[in-house]
Amino acid sequence: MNPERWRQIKQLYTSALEIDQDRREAFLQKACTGDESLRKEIERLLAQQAEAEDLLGTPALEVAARALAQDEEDKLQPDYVGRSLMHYRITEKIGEGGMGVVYKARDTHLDRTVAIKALPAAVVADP
Amino acid sequence: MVRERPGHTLQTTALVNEAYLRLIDADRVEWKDRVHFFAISANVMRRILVEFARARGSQKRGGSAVKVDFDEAMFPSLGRDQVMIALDDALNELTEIDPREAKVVELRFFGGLSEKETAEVVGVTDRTVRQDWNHANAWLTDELKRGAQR
Repeated sequence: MNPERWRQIKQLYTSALEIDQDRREAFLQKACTGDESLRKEIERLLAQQAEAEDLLGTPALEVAARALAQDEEDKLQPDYVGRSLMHYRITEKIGEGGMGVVYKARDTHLDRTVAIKALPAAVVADP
Repeated sequence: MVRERPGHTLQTTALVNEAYLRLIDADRVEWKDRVHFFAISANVMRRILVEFARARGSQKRGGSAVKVDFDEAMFPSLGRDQVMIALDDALNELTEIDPREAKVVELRFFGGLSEKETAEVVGVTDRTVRQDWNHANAWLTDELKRGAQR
């Protein structure tokens, strides 16, 4: 894109952001008379607004730190499938979330299916 | 409420330490002033975090599904690491077109600087930083979406 066009789009986008939403369309109609593609470019940028906050809203350092912490936690999370806890034989993992992992297990005493929830160490340490 | 994982804080410290070590190592750099320091720090942090995303991405390749929470709704086909890498690429592109706007993103997103601090480093008004930031957010989001569709 040539620099002149870039500046034009950026400037109109900035102005459009600063005026009330219900007046934007009229503003753009007027400002982009005879240049339909210019209006489309700006409208596309305006349409990103809600999601744009998600993209850069959390500082990169924090995003990376969370990812690293998640990796560590995954490594620490033991896999109980195939093992027994007391008289419960764990058969499969059903689900997992921030508060722990849920397993399907067999109660070998009462001969019935149960669900067992394993809490992450962090939750146990700080109830 | 999302429970903050204790590991999260530890990892932040580790990442900051890594950046600090690299800055100390950069003994060929002659610091002009603290503004210069922040500008370099943000760039170092950007490189560390992007390298980190690439390393994680290659570790996971072929493994289980990539964890997505950076922006699941927006880029369903991309994981957190890929978003970071795509963002870095798009930012390089932005540097070609509008170097100041790209700098504003680097300082704020990777350097963690406030609007005011960024204005000081770049040498423009707070308002200009805000305008660059708003435009960059929209433009980058659009770029990443288009990239994800390609």
